[in-house]
Amino acid sequence: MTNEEAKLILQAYSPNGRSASDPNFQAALNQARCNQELADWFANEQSVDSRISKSLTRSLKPPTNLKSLLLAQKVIVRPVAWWRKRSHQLALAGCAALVTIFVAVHFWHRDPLEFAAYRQAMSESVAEGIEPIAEVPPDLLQVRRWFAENKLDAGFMVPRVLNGGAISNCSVVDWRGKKVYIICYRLENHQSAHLVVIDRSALKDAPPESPVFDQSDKVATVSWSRGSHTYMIASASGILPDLMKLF
Amino acid sequence: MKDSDYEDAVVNFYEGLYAFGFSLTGKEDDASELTQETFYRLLTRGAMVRDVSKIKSWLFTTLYRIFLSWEQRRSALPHFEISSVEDQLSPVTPKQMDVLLDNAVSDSLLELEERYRAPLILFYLNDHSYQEIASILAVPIGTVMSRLSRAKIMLRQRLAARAIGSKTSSKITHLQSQLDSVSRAL
Repeated sequence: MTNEEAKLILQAYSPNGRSASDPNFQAALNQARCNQELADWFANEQSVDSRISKSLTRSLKPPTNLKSLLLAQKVIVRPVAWWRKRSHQLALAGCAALVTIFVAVHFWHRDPLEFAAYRQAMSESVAEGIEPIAEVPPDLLQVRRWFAENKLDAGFMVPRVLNGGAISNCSVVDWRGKKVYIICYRLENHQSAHLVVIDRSALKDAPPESPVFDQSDKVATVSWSRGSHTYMIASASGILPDLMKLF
Repeated sequence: MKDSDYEDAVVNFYEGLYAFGFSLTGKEDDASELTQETFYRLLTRGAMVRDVSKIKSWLFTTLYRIFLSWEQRRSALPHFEISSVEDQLSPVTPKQMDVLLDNAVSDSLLELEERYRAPLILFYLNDHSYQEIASILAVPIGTVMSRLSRAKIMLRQRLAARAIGSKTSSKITHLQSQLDSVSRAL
């Protein structure tokens, strides 16, 4: 083994010493013990690697509330996947053909679910005021638990900008056969904002992952898609620049 | 999956996963969402991880796959970035200098291409062997070795350039302050 070959191997030697027990490094380590030039190079390599590792550890710290958010996720109670039960599978198969025909006919006569129409409808709902269907404690954890207990999808992500906001109420509305979740937040200066979440696949032209801003007569909105959901923050009391500050 | 296993996974790996997510996306929000979605999948699909000792590898692999799916979606949907407004720079303090040094390393890392960035952050931050890195990124071990080697060289070249730039900048500042003193004296 040449020194260059040994260097290529030793470059992958862990900066925290974990590789010491890895037999794949032994030959190169032995060579470094017998070769001063290689030993010096390796000592320098380890020193620089260690500094870089410590520096990255310090600079890439997660947000302070991320850990508590992750731990809170575990209380979500998932509904039992009834379709996985064998007793239901035969009936399910029998229904599948009928459902397929029904859905095909149903949607044939329906307007396509366009994002512009969705945004318009939600903006109007926000402007007119949303009637809550339940009193929910001002705590996202409780909101998720309530969704899960009511067999609703609690898997959406709340954008970081709203993580600290106080929830005043939440509702689930039906829009053209699709469930839309609306969580209302109290912001500073007595303003409010509504986080509106819908399944991404419900919209044929869901907005991209970068925020799309829009200002109608009364309501400012910012919309984006992430993962399997499409999100919108809408505010009747705020104006577009206020929303843009959140991003 | 037991609650205690999930809690252990969060406590032990969320920082490393966030750092990995940040190194892939370069954005705090995206890194947080990648981490949240990864742990959400652990909750909903955790039964697939029968061997608890493999949770770490499963988490990093899952996060990387979610990132790739985001990238695929991004390339399919053209979008516009919102330009950020930079604050005016204020005089640097000794404490900021420490941060500046750390930021210089992370900034240099983010300048590398994703195929070099990903193995490098797994190597430096997350205590992964090169075999594990190969498994997470789904590339051969030889590829990991060569990318690591190349990535380390490129990172150090950038750090050296920043160090030289920093020294030159501090010399200019020093000369500027001397010039100001002389001007005031005159």
